[in-house]
Amino acid sequence: MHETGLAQEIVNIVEEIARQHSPKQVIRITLNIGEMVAVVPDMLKFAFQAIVENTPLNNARLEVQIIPVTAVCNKCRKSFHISQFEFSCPYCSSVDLTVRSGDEFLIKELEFKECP
Amino acid sequence: MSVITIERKILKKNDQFAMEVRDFCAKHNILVLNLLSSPGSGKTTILEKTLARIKTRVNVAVIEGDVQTDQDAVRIARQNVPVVQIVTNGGCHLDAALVLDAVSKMDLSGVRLLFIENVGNLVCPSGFDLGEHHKIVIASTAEGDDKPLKYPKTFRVSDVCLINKIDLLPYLNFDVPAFLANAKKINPDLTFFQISAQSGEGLDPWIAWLESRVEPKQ
Repeated sequence: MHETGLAQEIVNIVEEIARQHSPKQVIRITLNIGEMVAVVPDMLKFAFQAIVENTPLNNARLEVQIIPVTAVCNKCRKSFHISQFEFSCPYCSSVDLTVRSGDEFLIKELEFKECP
Repeated sequence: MSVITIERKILKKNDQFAMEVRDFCAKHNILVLNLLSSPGSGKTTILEKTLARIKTRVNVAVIEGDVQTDQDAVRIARQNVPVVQIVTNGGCHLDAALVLDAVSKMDLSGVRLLFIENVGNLVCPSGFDLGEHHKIVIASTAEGDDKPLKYPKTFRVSDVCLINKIDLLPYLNFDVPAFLANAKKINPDLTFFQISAQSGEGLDPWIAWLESRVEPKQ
């Protein structure tokens, strides 16, 4: 249950960036979370909502894009999606892979609206 | 309306603290090992037995992480090695800021090997870089051979896997080849040691692995 701490970290980062864009308001925060990252998006959203209540971020929507685990085989050069954490090539069974994505945990985008 | 792309790592602050730990330990030639496992797998007993065997030849220190109590640090202190207890007060993992703070409180002069015993948890600690050289996952036979499949991230990010409590194998349904196959599916590069901290069985190759990586006492 480390989602609360992570949600607080997201709020800290977004508040800092939002200050630089004041008086515009943040209305959307988009996260990229890799499939390999041990974070539960719904718990993160729940913690985020609890933290931002009665703050300027109260109207910001937290969106999560899940990034699949992908790899390229260093033997047959094919690219593929890795499911169930099985790190071997589905074409030639080689375990000599380069993982391309799936470990991301970042704030990708912020959307602002002008203050009326 | 305006959209800005920031691509900001959420754990950037943790990663910066981890880099400070890494820089400090590189400067002082200290190998840092981060021990991950579920509660009750035998982390502290493995440490006690490892320290007893290695401390005359290598200067070792330990950081203990627990949700509550300093019981583990008390056990480790009996081995007469420097130890600091971090109590997370509910926190499910150690982060690099806590480790950096602990490192700054310790006298690490001459120390070549630093163990960090993480909070017992096979999920959360896997996501936090503590500035270690290797993560080491410990699984005990009583937990079952399906643990790599159920907690894949921890097995994926570890370099070494200790299978503990092999003295209990005659009494359990733990299938060693199945465990190894499950873990290798997730991490083909994992190095395994099958041990019993209690009986001492299998500890020699593990101790040799450690000693081959650190500078001995002068």
